[in-house]
Amino acid sequence: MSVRSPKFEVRGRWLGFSAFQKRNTQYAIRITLLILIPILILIPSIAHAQGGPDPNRPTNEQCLVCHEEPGLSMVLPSNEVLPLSIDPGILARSAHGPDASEEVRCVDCHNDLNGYPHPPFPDVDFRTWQLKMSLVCGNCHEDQAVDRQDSVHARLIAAGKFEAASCSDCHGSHDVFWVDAEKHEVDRMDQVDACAQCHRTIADQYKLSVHGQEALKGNPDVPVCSNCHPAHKIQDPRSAEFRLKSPELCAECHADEELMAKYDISTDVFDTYVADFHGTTVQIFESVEPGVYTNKAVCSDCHGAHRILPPTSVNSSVMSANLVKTCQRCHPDANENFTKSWLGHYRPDWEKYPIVTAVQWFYYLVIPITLGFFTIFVGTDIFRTLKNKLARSQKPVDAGDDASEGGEDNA
Amino acid sequence: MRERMREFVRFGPIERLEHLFLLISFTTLAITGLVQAFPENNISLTIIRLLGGIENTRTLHHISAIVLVLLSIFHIFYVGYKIYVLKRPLSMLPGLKDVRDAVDLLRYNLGLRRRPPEMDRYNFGEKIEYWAVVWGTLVMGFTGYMLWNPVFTTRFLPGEFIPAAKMAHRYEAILAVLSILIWHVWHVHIKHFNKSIFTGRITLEEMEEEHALELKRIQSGEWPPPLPPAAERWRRAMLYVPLAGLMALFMLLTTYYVFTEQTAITTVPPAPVEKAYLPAKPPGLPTATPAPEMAMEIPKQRVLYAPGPMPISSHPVDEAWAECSACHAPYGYIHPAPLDHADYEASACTTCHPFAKEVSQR
Repeated sequence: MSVRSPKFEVRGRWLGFSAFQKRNTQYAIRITLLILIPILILIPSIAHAQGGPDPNRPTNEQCLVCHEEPGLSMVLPSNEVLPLSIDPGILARSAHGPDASEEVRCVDCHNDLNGYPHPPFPDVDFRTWQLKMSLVCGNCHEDQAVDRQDSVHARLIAAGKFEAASCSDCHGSHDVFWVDAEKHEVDRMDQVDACAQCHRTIADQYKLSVHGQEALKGNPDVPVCSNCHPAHKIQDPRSAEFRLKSPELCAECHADEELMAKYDISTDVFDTYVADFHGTTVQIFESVEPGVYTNKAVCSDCHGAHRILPPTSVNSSVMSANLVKTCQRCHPDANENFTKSWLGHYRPDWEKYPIVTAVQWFYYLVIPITLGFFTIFVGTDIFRTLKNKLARSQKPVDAGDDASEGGEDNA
Repeated sequence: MRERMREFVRFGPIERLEHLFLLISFTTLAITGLVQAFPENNISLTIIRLLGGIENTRTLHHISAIVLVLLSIFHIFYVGYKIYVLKRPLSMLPGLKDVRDAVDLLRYNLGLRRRPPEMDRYNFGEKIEYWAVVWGTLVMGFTGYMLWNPVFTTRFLPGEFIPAAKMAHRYEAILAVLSILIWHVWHVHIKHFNKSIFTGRITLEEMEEEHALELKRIQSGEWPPPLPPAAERWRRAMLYVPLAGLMALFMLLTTYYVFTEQTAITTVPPAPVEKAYLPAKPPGLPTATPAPEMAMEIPKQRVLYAPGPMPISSHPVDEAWAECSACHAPYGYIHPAPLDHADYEASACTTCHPFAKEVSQR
C-alpha cells in the first residue's frame, strides 16, 4: 500500500521489506505461529469469526435500530460512561463502510454480541475491554496484527502500561480511517496527528524540521513518522538495535541517487559516515554485538532525530558555527580545531582537504613502489633458489660449469 | 688462526628479547588493526567476535601499541649504549655498498652474474627491514596517537591532521603488513627458516650465504672489533647512563601523560531526546463513537449518588418488554441497575419502579 508516492509505504519498507527480508520472514513465521496458536485455542469466540463470516449474522441495520438512537449510554463497573450511540454517517464514511472491499458488519468486530439481549459487559473498565477488542482486528488484518505483537506498544501493554497505543488509538474504531491513498484522499499529516495524540512534543519538533515543513506542504518525498518508525512493527527507538540500524534507515533515502538529485543533496553521506570512526564502529557493533548499546554517534546524534534542519540553517546543530557545541555533547573538551577533523561528509580532494589528499597520494605512490621493489627481488630470488636446487639435485656430484651457480653452497 | 666454527653467535639475549616483544606487539597490532581497517569483511568480524567485541579489540590494540612504544624507547637507549659506551660500529647504517649489493644480487638472480655478492654483518635486505620498522613505528606511533586522542591532538594541530593521520595509519599498516609478508616471510621463513633471532646462533652455511663478508672478517680476526678497555667503558657509562636515564624518564613520563590524558578517551553519552510520551489526552474514552454533539453532553465519569427509584418512562411495558434484567441488569448495557440489585428478583422491579403516566412511543 502506498501513500501518494511509491517511495513510502504505510507499513514501512525499512524493517519489513529490505535487506533484512530473509531473516524477517523466518521471524515473522515463527511469531505468527506463536501468536495464532494461542488465539485459535484460547479465544474461540474470535476464532469462530475466522472460519468465514456467517451469512445469518445480524446486519448493521438491525443493530442500528437501537444504536442509532442518540444519547444511549451505559455505566461500566469502573463508573465510566460508555456511549452506545453510533452515527451511521461516521460508519458509512469509515474504511469499513460500504466502500470496503468486503462487507464488514458490526458483529464481525463485536463478535460476542450475536443477538439480543446482549451478554453483560465483560470487563471492569473501558480500556481493558478496548485492548481485548483490538484482538479482533487481527481476524482480518492478520499481517499487521502479527507485526504489532513485536512492537514497543504491544510490549508496554504486556508490561501493564495500558495507555500504550493499540489498533483503535491510531486507526479509530467506528470511524476507522482510510489508509489507501489510491482510493481515498489521505493526508499523510493525518498520520503525524495520530501519533501526536500521545507523542505531542515529538510531533511538534517534527513539524519544525526540514522533513516536517515539506510534509506540511504535501511533499510526498519526505518521511513522516511511520517511514522511520514502521507503523505496526514499531521498535523502541531507545533500544541498541534501533540505534545501531538508524544510519541505514536514513540511508534508505539519503543514499538514493534519484531522490536526492531532486534536492541536490549528496548521496555520499552514508558511505562517508561509515568510512569514518563513528560509522565504522557502529557498523561493527551492528554486525558483532547488535544488542549492545554504543555511544558512538549515529546520524541523529549530530543532526537531531525529529527536528532535523538543513546544515545551512542558522539553528542547525551541524551548521559549522554550531558544530563545536554539537561535538561537545559527547567530547566535552573539543575545540574549534577538533570540529575540522570531521570532513563534513565530503570525500577528501585537493581543493577541500589538501593534507588528507597529499597523504593519500603519498601512499598511492609509496606502496606500489615499495612492494614492487620487494616483489621483483623476491620473485627473482625464488627463481634463482629453485634453479639452484634443481641444479643440485640433477648433478649432485658433478662440480662442472653448472654447479658454479650453486657453488657457494659447498664452499 | 682458530678452528673453523660450525656455529656463530649472532644475537645476544637482549636483541632476541627485543625481537620477541616486537613480534608479539606487531602481530597483535596488525591483527587488531586490520580488522578495523576492513570492518565489512567477514573474517574481520569473526576475529572481532572472537576477541570479544570491538571495544575489547581496541583495548588490545592500545595495549600492544604501548608495548611497542616502550620497546622503541628502550631500543633507542640500548643502541645508544652500544654505540657510545661499547663503541660498537654502526653496522646497521646503509651505505653505497648496499646499493651495489642489491644490484649485484638482482643480476645474480637473473643469471647475469656468476656469484652472489658478499655481504656484511647486516645485508641490504636486513637493513631495509630494520629501517622500515623504524619508519613504520614512527609513523604508526604518531598517527596512532592522534587517532587515539584527537581532542588532545587538536589543541596543537589543525583538525585536518586527524583524517590525514587516519589515512596514513591505514595505508602505512597495509604497507607494513604486506612488506613483512613479502620480504620478511620470504627471507627468514620460506627461503630457509632462519632461527638465529630466537636461538642467537647462526650456522656456517647461513653465514656463507648471507654474510660472506662478515664471515671472512671473523675468520681474519678483524671482527668483532675489540671492546674499549674496562676503565674507558666505565667512564663512558658514568656519563651515558645518567643522561640517557634522564631522557628516558622524560620520554616515559611523556608517554604516560599522553596515554592517560582523558579528553577523548572518556566520552559522555549523548543527551536524551525529547520526552516521548506526552499525550494530549489519555487514551480510552471516548473513542469518537457517538455523534460529536452527543460526546460533549455525556460526562466521562458519572458522579456516584444514591438515586431514588425511577419510574419507567422510556418504553411501554408489555409482554415483549417484561424481562427487565435483559437490558437493565447490573453491568447491563442500558441504564444498568445498581450493583446492590444483583440479588433482586426480576418480577419485583415494578414494586419500586412504577409505570409512568406518559409513556413515550417509539
